[in-house]
Amino acid sequence: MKRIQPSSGQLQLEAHLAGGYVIKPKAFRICTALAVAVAIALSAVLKVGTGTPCSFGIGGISTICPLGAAQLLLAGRKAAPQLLVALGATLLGVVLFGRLFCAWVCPTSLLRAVFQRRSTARPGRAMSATSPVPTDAQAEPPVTTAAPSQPSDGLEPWLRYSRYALLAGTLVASLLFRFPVFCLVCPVGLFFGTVFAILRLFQRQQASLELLLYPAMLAAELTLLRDWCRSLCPLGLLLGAIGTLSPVGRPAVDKEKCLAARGVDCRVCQRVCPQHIDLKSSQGLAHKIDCTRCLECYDRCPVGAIAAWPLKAPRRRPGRRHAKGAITRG
Amino acid sequence: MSEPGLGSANNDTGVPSPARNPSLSRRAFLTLGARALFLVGLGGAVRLAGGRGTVLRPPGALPGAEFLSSCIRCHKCLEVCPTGIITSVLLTEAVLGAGTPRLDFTRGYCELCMKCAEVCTTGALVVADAGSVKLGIAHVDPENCVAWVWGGCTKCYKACPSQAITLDEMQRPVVDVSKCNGCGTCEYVCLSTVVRSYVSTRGKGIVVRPLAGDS
Repeated sequence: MKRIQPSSGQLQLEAHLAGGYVIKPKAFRICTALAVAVAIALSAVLKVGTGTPCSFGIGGISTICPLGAAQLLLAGRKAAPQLLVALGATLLGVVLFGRLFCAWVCPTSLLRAVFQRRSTARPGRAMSATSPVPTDAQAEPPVTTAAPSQPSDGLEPWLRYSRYALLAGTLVASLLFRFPVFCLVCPVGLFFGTVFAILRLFQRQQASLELLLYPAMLAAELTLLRDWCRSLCPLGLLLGAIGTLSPVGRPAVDKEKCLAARGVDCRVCQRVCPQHIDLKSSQGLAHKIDCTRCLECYDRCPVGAIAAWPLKAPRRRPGRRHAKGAITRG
Repeated sequence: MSEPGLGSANNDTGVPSPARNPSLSRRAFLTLGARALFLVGLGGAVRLAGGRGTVLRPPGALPGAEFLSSCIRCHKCLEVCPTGIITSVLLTEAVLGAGTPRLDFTRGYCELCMKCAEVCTTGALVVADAGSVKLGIAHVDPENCVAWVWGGCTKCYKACPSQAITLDEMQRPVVDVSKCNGCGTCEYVCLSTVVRSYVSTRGKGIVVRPLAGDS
């Protein structure tokens, strides 16, 4: 039985776009999330007034955090027309893009990517270190495809229902206590709360408790609740549930190209997936709710069998592994 | 919240199933319930702890508790304010309202331009008629006011755009509650913190206070 290590494939952002640059999706994701954070901080300094992801927009067109909106609707027990308009615009976006926000905008994944980089600097090495699959793969009996896939992160499956519990708790708490309760601990809010605390420090020479407490809470959530995005985040759950049928960036496996068709037990796509989605088994709804469109599977598939509409499956030379770290820069 | 029983059940049995293992299903139920109740408990604790004090809100703000249940804490109003007088309520001021907008007249006053209300997505701030909107009411503090302590200062009287400040027989400022709209011009121009900085550091001689009921 042959096991394929994840190759460091490349995302060719069609050469005419970047003039021959080859950018890894992870780097692209970090840059996007960083650009959003910087743009929001700049907008605060320059008085543009885009707001934070809690409610983002310019002029009359705004989006609103669907979880925040749900909490306000329950807390206030009334609906302002502008809130409904913003919520409608947001829902339209989520129906199209699903949980794209999670991988490309949410500061949680930005911080994860930046601070966990040291341990996962080399994709190939990092995978063998974090993967629960034994490295002496040759000695292991062959795994049949019919065998249930073991939880690849060592977490018990029922823990993933925590996010439903947190969502229910959030809504009940907001209804009872009449203010948006989850916003107190939301990592997005804590991140931008920190940004505004820093701005206050420079603009008003006002040092506040937020300057220390918000980053500390954020760090605690990222380190103690490592499974936040997958098992706990009610916002991610809501976005995923609304965007269940969203077409953009959803990975689709070409069953003929996939190594499984040749009897190879390749689990690269599942192992590189931050959400541990097994694309090859038809998990149905669960997998549709979870995918954050991070494009890791699309990028790392050794045979280029995964397309993510509108991106076509990347071309890979058959029978050749991609050289490690072969990142060409124009 | 911690991750309970990490990896304890699936070390040797492969796939743990709550249905197959009654003790596990009980644990799952309790854990998930605890996680849901955590947020309810947090909300209750913050509601109990953070309801004190009153806050000066931007123009067109919904009253008191209604504002807290309508504001999503997105900071848009704070960003667009041309005079930069909107700041956020700090955790140390009120946990319940942390991140909601508050007016601070130390660096400017409210021109009632209503830009903050125009950008509000949630309707916590509603565009109001600049002529009739009331942010709060100015109060003269006799212990800090230069005119009360030393005499001679008429800064706020001259600056008030609503002519809500008159001078009494001792040339001390008196606020006409019906005319004052709480724009903060008087508080902004008040010199007491400057000229009395060697005597007292208590604050401005005239301060805009929120209307009763604003929290």
